[in-house]
Amino acid sequence: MSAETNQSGGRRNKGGTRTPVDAHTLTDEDVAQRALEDKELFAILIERYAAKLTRYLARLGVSVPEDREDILQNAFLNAYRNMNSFDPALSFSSWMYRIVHNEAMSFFRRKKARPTVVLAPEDEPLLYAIQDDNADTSAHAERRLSSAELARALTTLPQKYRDILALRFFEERSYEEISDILEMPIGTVSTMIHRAKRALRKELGDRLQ
Amino acid sequence: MKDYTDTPLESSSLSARVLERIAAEQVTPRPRWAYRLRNRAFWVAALGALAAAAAAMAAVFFILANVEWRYVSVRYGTPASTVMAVLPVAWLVLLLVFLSVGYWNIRHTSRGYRYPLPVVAAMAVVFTILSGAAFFSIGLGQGVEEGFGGHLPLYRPFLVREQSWWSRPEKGFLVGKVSSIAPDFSSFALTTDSGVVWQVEGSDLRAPDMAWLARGGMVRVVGVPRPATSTAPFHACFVLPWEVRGARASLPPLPLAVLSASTSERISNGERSNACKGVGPYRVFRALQDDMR
Repeated sequence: MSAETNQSGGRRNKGGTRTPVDAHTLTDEDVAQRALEDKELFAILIERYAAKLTRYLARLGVSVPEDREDILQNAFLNAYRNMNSFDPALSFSSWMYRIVHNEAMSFFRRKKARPTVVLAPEDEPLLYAIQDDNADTSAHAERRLSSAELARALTTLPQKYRDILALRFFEERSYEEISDILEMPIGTVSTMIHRAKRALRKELGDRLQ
Repeated sequence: MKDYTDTPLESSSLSARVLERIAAEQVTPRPRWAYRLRNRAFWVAALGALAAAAAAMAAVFFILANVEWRYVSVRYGTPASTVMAVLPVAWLVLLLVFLSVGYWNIRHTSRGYRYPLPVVAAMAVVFTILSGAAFFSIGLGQGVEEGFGGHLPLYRPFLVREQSWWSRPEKGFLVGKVSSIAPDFSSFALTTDSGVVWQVEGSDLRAPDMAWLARGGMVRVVGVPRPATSTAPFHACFVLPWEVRGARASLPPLPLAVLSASTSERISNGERSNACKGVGPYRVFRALQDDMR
């Protein structure tokens, strides 16, 4: 390589002159590394993840927008505080989801709030998947449930099942990523997904036929 | 329906608010060494717990190795009561506790969640068995069982229990160190752990008994008590070895006597006197000595 990257986001070429690097083009992991030196860069990560994580929180059952924002603020603050604990063996995304997940669980415990799942119409891939045990997220169903029906059924499930279904079928995370987010072995992820789908099918009952 | 798309979160305003809080609360990233230290502390604690589990396993091996399986019918009775008596419950409980602590610590290392419980458990058990066997072979099993076990409430070290059972002269059992032997093996002296010296009459001893006596060190004697006023208040019928397997390193006892041809000829392997036939487990010990010949 003819150029090396310095800590502040610039690149120094062999001639010693600086060429600016657009931090927006860097990977999450690189931005996270640089944010340790320049906290303003942390804003890039927040902007990349805010929307995704807001949806994720809604799918976990945090139904009030203000609560979602509070959780996100705390999660990003924790992420910044614990940036040095980020393990490069994980993806930054998994690490960030883990923090948000833990923050959401603390929120439910603290507030003793009953989760109420909020879904959008585009959240229906879950429905396709639960109708067929072998189905992937791309499978199709003949009959469609409304997202409201699905949300109601999800709300009645135990939190552990809701978590894993949200990650697998709404966030479309791989088993390995889910293992990193929920901090459980991959084999357990697989078992839990199977059980969660069965529980959801049971909950939906004949509305699925 | 209320959904999150109704109130899209403005990510730029969120980032501004987070950065404001970082500045206002003076949040700084915790140093990397703190996480490394924490992670290493978990590993060290896990290894410590596994080492403790291995030590508990060495104690289990020590107990099982020192159960005199040959005498169990005399010592413990039925197979069920044998199991109840020799099963090292305290050590197995400690073993489980240490294995659980080890697993808990591994689980809390930075990537510990990736290891499935059955795999970690199997590896920990194999590690514990192998290390426990190694500890046992260098005498650590006895050290742990007696040293640490001696401090456990309601726990009596295995050999202390055994020695106590065998130290019942009124029932015909004696255990102690051979301190002297008459040249013709007609009598010998036995010093118990508490320092009491027993003069034992040996006219009923046979060649195998004499061999154990001649070797010196600790022996167990099965016989018949005599009036305390007699010159030898214990009549020996059988002498059996007291061997400690997996013992801490110690010098072997010096031989106290040498069996001469005349001694061997004097006493054959035949039946013993009627006094010995009154000894409860006579048949067992007789058969046992035949086996050991």
